Amino acid sequence: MPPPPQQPGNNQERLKRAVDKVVGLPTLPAMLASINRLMINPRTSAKEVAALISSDPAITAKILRVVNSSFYGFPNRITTITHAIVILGFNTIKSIVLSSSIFDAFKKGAGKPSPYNRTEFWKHSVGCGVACKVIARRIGYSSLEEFFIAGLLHDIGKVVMDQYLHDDFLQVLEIVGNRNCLIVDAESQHLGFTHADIGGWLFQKWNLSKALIESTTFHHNPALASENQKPVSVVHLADIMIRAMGIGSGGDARIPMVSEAAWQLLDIPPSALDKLVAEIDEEMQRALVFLELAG
Amino acid sequence: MGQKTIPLKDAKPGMITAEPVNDVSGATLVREGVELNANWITRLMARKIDTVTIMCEDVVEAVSPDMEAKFAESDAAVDAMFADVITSPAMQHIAGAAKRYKRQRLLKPPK
Repeated sequence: MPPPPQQPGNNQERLKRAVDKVVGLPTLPAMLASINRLMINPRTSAKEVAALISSDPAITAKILRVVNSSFYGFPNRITTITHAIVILGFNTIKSIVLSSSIFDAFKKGAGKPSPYNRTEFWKHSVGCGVACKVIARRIGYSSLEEFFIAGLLHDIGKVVMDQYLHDDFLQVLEIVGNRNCLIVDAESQHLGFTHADIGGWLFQKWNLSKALIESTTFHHNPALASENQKPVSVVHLADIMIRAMGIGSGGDARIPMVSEAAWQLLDIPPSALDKLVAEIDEEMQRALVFLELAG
Repeated sequence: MGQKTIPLKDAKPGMITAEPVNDVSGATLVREGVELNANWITRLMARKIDTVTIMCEDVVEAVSPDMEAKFAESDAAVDAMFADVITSPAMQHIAGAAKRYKRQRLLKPPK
């Protein structure tokens, strides 16, 4: 079958034309911006951050639900945000606020009917977060929470496209259905940009960390990352492993080729894969609380 | 592929470590995934290591023809998913792990 026609112009121009069409995109949640401002000041206390978060009962309830889930596995019940911050640290709490806000912004769709299965999408996303955490732990990283969030949000561009570039995304899904190809390949060929570009653009617009921007933008091609090749390689491999395990679905039935450079960089012995898969499976059960946030 | 812990005296050249071998201080003497040779076994004995955990074939229990058919179907689904990428040795390893995982899920479905 011949490749689908491409729109004229280079890829950056096509991406710019596409994002110019995005109207009404949620702004960076005000709560997150306020937390960021507080965290820039090294003298900010847990009590100050807790006071800010506690002013939003919905976010407070979500944080307490997540920190008391088996995902974190604390033996005693955490009943206040101050206690949660002291035990889990600012960054973890910020991550929970970030993921919860993004789920709220993108969980339902824009009211337009879409064949894209959000339930399977979020399951794939949570699974990828878990796989990132397990792989990162295997290769000796300590900031596992950041890896979980990077995996959780790596495909966010797909729901942005489904919601704000709906017609383009429907055409991509049609190509995927007809050709049984990867979404990323259909996007590249048909649109000249991909969900990874859109996700990276969103996170750049929201002024999120360079590591999160790169892991989102380059999760299909980690060699292109300028500063974070190894963490991006973790997200790349996690995406492949969670697809191979059949947990959730990103919207296509094929599997991308692992980047040889990423495989070499991570240096995971093949004999360790069964153990990694077993750990991902076990941790996935505990991470299901995040699916409730998305539900 | 499974794993089992055996006395070091029973270790044979060619066996592959399934977990790192550490000394009493926690320092890693041999990483996981390393093929043991006679020299390694002698050196580990000299470091007073008692046991090693090695890779081994799973004990294959007899399964019903119905389960065999489900295994074949599950393996075929993995093969179809990996059809375009199976030339890569890394992808072959990942496909192998995926097949074993899915067979385990068929034998012991999640609650």
